[in-house]
Amino acid sequence: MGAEKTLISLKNISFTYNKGLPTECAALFNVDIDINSGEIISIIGHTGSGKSTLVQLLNSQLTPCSGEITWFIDGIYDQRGAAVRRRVCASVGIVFQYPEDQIFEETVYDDIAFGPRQLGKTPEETEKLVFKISELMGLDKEILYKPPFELSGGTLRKVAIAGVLAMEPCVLVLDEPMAGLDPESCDSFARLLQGLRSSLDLSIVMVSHNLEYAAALSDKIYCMASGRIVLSGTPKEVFGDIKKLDEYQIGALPSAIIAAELSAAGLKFAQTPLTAEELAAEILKNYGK
Amino acid sequence: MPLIGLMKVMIDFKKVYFRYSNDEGSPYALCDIDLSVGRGELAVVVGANGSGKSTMARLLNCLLIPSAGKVFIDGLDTSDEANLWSIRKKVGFVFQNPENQIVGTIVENDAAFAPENLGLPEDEIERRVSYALEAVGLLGRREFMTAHLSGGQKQRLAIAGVLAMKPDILVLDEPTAMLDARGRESIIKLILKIKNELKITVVLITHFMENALVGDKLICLEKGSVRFAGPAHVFFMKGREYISKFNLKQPFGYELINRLNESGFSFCESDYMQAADPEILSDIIFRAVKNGR
Repeated sequence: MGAEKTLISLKNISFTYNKGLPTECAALFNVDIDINSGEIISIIGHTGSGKSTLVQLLNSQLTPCSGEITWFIDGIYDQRGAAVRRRVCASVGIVFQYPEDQIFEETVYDDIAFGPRQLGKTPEETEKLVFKISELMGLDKEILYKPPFELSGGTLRKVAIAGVLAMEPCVLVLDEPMAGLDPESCDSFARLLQGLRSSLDLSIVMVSHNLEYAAALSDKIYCMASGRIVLSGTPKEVFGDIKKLDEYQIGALPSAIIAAELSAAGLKFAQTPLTAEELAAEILKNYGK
Repeated sequence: MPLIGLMKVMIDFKKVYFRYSNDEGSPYALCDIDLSVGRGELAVVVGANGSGKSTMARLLNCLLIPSAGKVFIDGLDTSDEANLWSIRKKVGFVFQNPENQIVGTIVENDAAFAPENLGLPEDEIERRVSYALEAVGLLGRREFMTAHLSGGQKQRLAIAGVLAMKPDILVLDEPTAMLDARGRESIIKLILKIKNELKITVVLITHFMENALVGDKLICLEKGSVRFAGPAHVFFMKGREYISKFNLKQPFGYELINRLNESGFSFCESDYMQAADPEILSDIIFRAVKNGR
């Protein structure tokens, strides 16, 4: 972990919508986050806690009202040292909720190729990229020439994400990527994200209401409430703090709740279990054989 | 009128087949569906993406008509065009994303949309709006702008808009997919209240296995066929491997008990049935461990 390099650093960021107008609305207060290369980060917190505002700052769709955001990515700054928004947008790819709604081209191929073409890639470069990304995403070559509307929901989502990956971002931001997928598709999607991280050396930032996947996938979790980061750490650190999670109405993992109840009753737990499997193993260890 | 036990049948599928294209050889989205839901029952439908859940829901209010077989809503045949409007008044729909369903800028105007379009007199519209907003707990926010509601509140407003039509059947297609844990819980509580207090028949489609436990009946679809219809605990007790065949998972408590049983514990059916509540489950496990399993 020592070799990891910071890609985006947010220092003391505050953001207010419609600042100075009667409708002004403060959304973020003093947020500090570092996004390192190859990391999977989850941002959790209930609706309205500032997650989406934060995500839009990452690729400069919004500019902070105070504080500093720095991108350590080649070619993002011009000669005067100002961040070039176009380059930020290409380097930090955002996949919104229900990305399949953003598909508009006539074939899957054209949809994936849209981004690279806009970035001025040659047809040969574009084709190479489209093939590489669709293979990574597990999309069959034959579906590339089909109209997107013939595909199932899960496959469409992969196509939409392939379209963002084709811009070769170094940070991929996903807003609720699992919403509407069945449990098995969620699992395979989680495996896919882990695969992308290692094969593309991609950093992934995930905004999610699904605590189980946040726990299973993330290196680090940030919990937000009322525009502030109220808790952060590894999944085990965060989900071990049931009191705080409850205080900020973020919700706890059932495995952690049961482990806490059982340890209050006298059982010993070496660590906070994140899944039913881990919890069962801990219970057996206590009273083993 | 057919009965299930002493309950009146509200939804009745008789050998239903459906396919989106009538071309020879095109696949069936639904295949030989036979099932019924009684008045006041809460039926939960689960299954993989593309297993036919939403197709089945769309057959309930004549958005789709069976290719073969019949669907009866409160005894009315959905394939008879003369029944179309009475069926649509009986069956209310709530979809995944409330944003697509909210038309008003002010909460009470949105809830009034359906009764206004039913051409009801003004005092009846007012009664229904109050009734619906009260039911979903938004009466105190009736003059709020809909854009200022949270995701959970928007979903509750979408449900209120449907309740204002006084439907006999409420169909919810993944109503909690976009919500946080707190919003999910509030919608599930509301659904139970609608069933228990308003005596409305509810069909709930969901990917959240924890939510599937609240129903009177669970229906599992796979590739357009019903693979299981019965009590949810019976379904989930069948074990991890069986459940995963349908691209589904056991709810947390079931998986935990299942794993402990595989390692020598002997939890029984009544333990499974209480497994949804972490506190009760902790108790059960603690006692089992203390008494040497």
